[in-house]
Amino acid sequence: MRENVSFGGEPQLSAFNAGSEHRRLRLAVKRFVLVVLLFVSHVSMGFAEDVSSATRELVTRFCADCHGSPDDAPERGFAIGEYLASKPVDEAGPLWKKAVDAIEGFEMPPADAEQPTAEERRALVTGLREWLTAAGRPGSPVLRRLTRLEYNNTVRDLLGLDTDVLMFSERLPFDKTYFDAAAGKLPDQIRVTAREYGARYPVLLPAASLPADSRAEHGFSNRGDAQNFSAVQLEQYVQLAEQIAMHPELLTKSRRLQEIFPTARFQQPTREAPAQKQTPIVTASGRLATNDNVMLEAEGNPMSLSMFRERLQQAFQEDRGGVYDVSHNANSVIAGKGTVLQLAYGKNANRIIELNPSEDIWNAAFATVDESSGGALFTNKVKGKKSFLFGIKSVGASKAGVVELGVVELGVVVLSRKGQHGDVVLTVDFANGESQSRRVKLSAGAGVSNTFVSFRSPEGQRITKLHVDGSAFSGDYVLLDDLAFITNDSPSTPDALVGVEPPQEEAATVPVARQNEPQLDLSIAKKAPRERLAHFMQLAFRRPVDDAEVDLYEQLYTAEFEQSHADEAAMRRAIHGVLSSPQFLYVNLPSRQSTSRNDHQLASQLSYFLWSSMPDDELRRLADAGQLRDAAVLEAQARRMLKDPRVRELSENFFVEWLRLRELWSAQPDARLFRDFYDGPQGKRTLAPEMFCEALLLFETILVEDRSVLELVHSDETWLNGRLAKLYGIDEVKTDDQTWQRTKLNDAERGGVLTMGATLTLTSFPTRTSPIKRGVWLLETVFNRPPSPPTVAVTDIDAQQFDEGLTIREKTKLHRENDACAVCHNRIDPPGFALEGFDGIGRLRERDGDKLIDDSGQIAGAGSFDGPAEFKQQLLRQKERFVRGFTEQMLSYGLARKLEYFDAATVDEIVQQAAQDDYRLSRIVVEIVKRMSKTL
Amino acid sequence: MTNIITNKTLHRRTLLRGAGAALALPWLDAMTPTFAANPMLKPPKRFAWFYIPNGVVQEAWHPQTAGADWEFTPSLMPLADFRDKLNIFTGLDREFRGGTGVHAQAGCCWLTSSPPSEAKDGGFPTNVTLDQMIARGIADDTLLPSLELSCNDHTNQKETRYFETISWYGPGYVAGALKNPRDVYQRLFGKPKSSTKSVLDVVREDARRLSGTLGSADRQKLTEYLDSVRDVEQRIERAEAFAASATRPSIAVPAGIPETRSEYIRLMGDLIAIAFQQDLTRVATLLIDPERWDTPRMYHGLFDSPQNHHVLTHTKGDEAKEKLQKIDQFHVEQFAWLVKRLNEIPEGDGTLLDNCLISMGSGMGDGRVHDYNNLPVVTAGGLGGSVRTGSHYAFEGKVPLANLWLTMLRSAGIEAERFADSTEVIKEIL
Repeated sequence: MRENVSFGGEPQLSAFNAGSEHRRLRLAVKRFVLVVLLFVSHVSMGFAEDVSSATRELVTRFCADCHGSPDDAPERGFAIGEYLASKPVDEAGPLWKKAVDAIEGFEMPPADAEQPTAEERRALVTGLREWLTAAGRPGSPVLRRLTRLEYNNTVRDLLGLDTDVLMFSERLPFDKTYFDAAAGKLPDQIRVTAREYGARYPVLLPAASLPADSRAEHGFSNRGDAQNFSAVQLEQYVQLAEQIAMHPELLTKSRRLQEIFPTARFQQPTREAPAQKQTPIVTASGRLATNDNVMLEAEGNPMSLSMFRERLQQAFQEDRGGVYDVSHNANSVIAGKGTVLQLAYGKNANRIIELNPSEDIWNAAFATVDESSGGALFTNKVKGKKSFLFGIKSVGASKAGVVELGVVELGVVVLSRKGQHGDVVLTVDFANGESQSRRVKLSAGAGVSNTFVSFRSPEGQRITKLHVDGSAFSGDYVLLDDLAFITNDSPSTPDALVGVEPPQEEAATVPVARQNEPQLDLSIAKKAPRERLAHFMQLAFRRPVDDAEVDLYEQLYTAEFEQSHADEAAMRRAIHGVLSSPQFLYVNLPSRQSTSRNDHQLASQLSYFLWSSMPDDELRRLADAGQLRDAAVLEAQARRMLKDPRVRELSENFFVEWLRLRELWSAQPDARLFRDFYDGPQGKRTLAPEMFCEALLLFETILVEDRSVLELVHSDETWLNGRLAKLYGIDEVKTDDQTWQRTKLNDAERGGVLTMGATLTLTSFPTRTSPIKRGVWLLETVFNRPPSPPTVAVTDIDAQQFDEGLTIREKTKLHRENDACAVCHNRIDPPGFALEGFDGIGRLRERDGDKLIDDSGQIAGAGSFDGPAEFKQQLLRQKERFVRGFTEQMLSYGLARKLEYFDAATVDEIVQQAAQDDYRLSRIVVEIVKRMSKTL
Repeated sequence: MTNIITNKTLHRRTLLRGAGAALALPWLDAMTPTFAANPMLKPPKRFAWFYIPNGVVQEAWHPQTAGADWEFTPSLMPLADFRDKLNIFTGLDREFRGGTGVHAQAGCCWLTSSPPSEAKDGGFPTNVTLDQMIARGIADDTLLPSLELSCNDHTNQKETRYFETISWYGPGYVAGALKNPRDVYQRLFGKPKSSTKSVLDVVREDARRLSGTLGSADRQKLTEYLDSVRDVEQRIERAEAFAASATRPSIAVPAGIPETRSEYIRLMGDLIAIAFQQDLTRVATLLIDPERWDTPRMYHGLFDSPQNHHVLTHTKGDEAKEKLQKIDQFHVEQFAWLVKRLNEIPEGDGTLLDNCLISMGSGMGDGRVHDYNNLPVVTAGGLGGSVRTGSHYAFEGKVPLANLWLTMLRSAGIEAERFADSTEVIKEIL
């Protein structure tokens, strides 16, 4: 190791380097000094007296040797003598909190020092915590900005929209219709559809964006202390507010604004009855089959494959075409009755056509290409149903006016198959009722007579249907691939894209979540502008507003009205201002005068905690009436909120941020070593959505069924679809990609967040596992006891000149022989070892290379384990440590601030209350909520 | 937005951005250089910093020969055309402050003005950074006091702002960087709207009133909002003046974030060059990539598959090292692009580059061992004759990087005794 980092005056190094003999000598002297110091100070100083003499004795015995007098280079600069003696608790508190955590976590005293008995340790921890608690004060909330997710949700709920306001990467790609918070139980089988992560979806402002929020040190992105505000951001907020306020369809899309605008005409999103199930939007690619796979051209083709490919590439660039190649939704079914496949096409994927099949269509994926031309294709789902058709419709076609928009050129490949032959006839219908057919003669043999078929519509016409007739074909399935199309849209230009014009997919409105529809008071719409504005402001600011505030924003109304003489325009301008206000953008603005405002602040704390959004009507009414602080009311509200659809954010935001699950989207296991992670043509499809979904479903089961949070550590069941079950080697589950099965686990290795594909993958390097990464992740997230960053420069394990042939574990062991490393790595490494039986994508394994895995180890204070199952049992034996960590994380998220030493008491109480109620999630939530009222 | 780089990614990115093709800004000869027109007008001094993360492959970066006869190393080769206008610094160090992440600190404290002993922001010695100090000194009434840019379009749930922020208004107060070239363009050339002004009037007053009701910590938070209102108002005022007096360049609006790394970085470089040329700002920072940030990244044209820069620094073997060196060289190529651009624009007696001092470097020396020694620093441009160029300055022993920063501060005309933990000015270059 190269010693080439300087250490900025940190005191701990000299001590680390000191031999233990020398250390003991020095300690004897120090201990004497300290005892004197403690007893002298006892008489004269304030806080030392609050520490019971029993606790003080324990501190002297176990801590003072190394953390003695400040004059004597105490370890880590932490001189207990000085702190116990003279420092006021608000200065010493933070360090003491760390000390208590270290003692409780068996980090201190270090292994080579005298160890307290279990009772002594407990007494020490309790005594110090009591002292901190007694001296503590309730922490008030800190002013903070809405996160991007909260901003979106707040605007959505304020206006009563059915969709998100903008697209942002925190929004998970799962269709949430399965999530019924009020059900009390999740069914044993669930259908979860997912759009491709990153694909567009319907929102109010498709072209708008806000910058992402970054996470706080060891914490959540909602934490005020980690947030900043800049001119750039302000401009973005002001512009976004204007885009929202001036949106041409605002008055038809917003439920709430019917109260504010007499001219508002909310339109229930039209849904054809029976409601057409829309499969999520799938993106079309710009690549058409290669010549290697497709040998033949159908007779009568107006364009050859190569010509069509060229035209398509051009069209794709201009957002006028695309190819449906199944790659994004392989292994799924498009139901023939009532389902429409939406294809977003073009380079920007900003336009959509719909394919409406007459029969069930199977999007099949093959592991090998022997079967046909490629890894994926589509065919009839029902054996023998070889004649079917696709309705083809351009979304937004009706809006186009004179020229009907639609598909004008179409190409598709018909595949041949081993041992099957015969004719397949493809026919297209045009809008004017005319049609054209091509006959494809397939000879037997996998891929030998794959044939490209193309059509071009007559001038002014468009293709409305594609018929497939395979009745003369000997096989049961007609195999098709690469359905390519070119439309008569006008090309997108870069200029057009810069503007805010919404793409056409708006027409296909899919609700984000079923909202609690606001109870509207339409009589407000008849009132004077000022009163309407005041009403909107108190909703937007989430508290009552006074006259002076209304005066201020009324200026905007008045100025605009003087120019336009239009109430609607003037009110829109005022809304532009309101949505740009700090009172809208910041949470936790304290009261200005009346106490009832604190009730409104409490309502906001509740709603941003559980829903990541603004309070609803009921919370607001209770706050108005000053009833929210009542403990029974608070509990009832928390329980009601846990049954509301919006509580999905507790899963999608709190849970996801807690475990850093979003890192999964960028996980890139090495494609050669971890072939199983990839699927589909060119390996484009990954297992990330599956892994993500399994984790979400575990938390949502606990949430909806109100189970114990200990099930996060270990559960005897999990959720699997066929694909994930295959990875885990669980043969019983053979469902398609969208069907999730609650599955009893036969062995205790899986189950819980520590041993699922998601977390095991996101804590690995692309080519190998990392016990250290896993250990650090576990300490930081699950236990909320992040290890300090290394104080010495370390080379990575791989770069160290160890003997070849050592396992990762053996390499890791070497660094723990260094005292400086061992202090933290004794804590970090064992959990990592326990999980070594899972490879870089969470598959069980017995060997690392040719070495057998050793996944045994020891947890300080708990005992030894052999393998992940025992490891989890050991953790559960210390369940309070886990629950404490979880509670701290959730409390910090709920309060949206860093926890301080004085919060230890609150955490204690919550953990104790939770223990009385089998550690149910709802109990922890309720207890957190009750304590929110005390800090206001 | 999304940060998955696969073959598919190109596609995905396009989707979310809603704007696809990278239209590199057409470089217009027709653009009228502001300061070329009037030879009597002394062109202003401009500063820019390029940040590269995770250190460099030392032996392929640092020349061996000190002085004017230094030799081009493989990594620096892309700058070969500009030898006389460069300075190479070796042997400069920064002091690590224990207790915070070594990567995070390398980036966030590269331009910091706090010595490691002063940690005001958690454990981080962040403070007003060099670029912001200089901006406050030399901005005059340019449209923007400074321009903060970043080519980190990856969102990441693991890393904090410390990994991706090199410019700070104060302790813990991030000077937020723009990541989308389209937004940069809008910020430089966007027409202010009268509606924005009237809304700002109202919200400023609202915030001012609120501020009076807050405790000190909360008031400080709200100050960020008030500061921002003032900054935006100032920009609008100046943008109006600018629109009235100057000719707007007829350049294409960038469509979004370009698909390939080099196009992305070069487009940002172009925007800096235009902003300098038009005197819209005199100070710019560009973060090429954040520290650590274990997200695989596609280096188009260099490798067939996405690479993880940070993981490569900790990967054994020559293959990894070769890749790292290629990435270093790739970063230098992008820097060289900006140097070339600036050097193509005539200004005064020479070129725009002659009136700039642009620096490229990393807060880490060798990423493999996380050290802060022998930090790579290259500068280009003579800052209107106030900086001597063409040499390799090799320092022995412990010499703080802050000495160079202090020298820059002085060369900007700002009186300062010291900068952070500086010990002296590097007189040789003045």
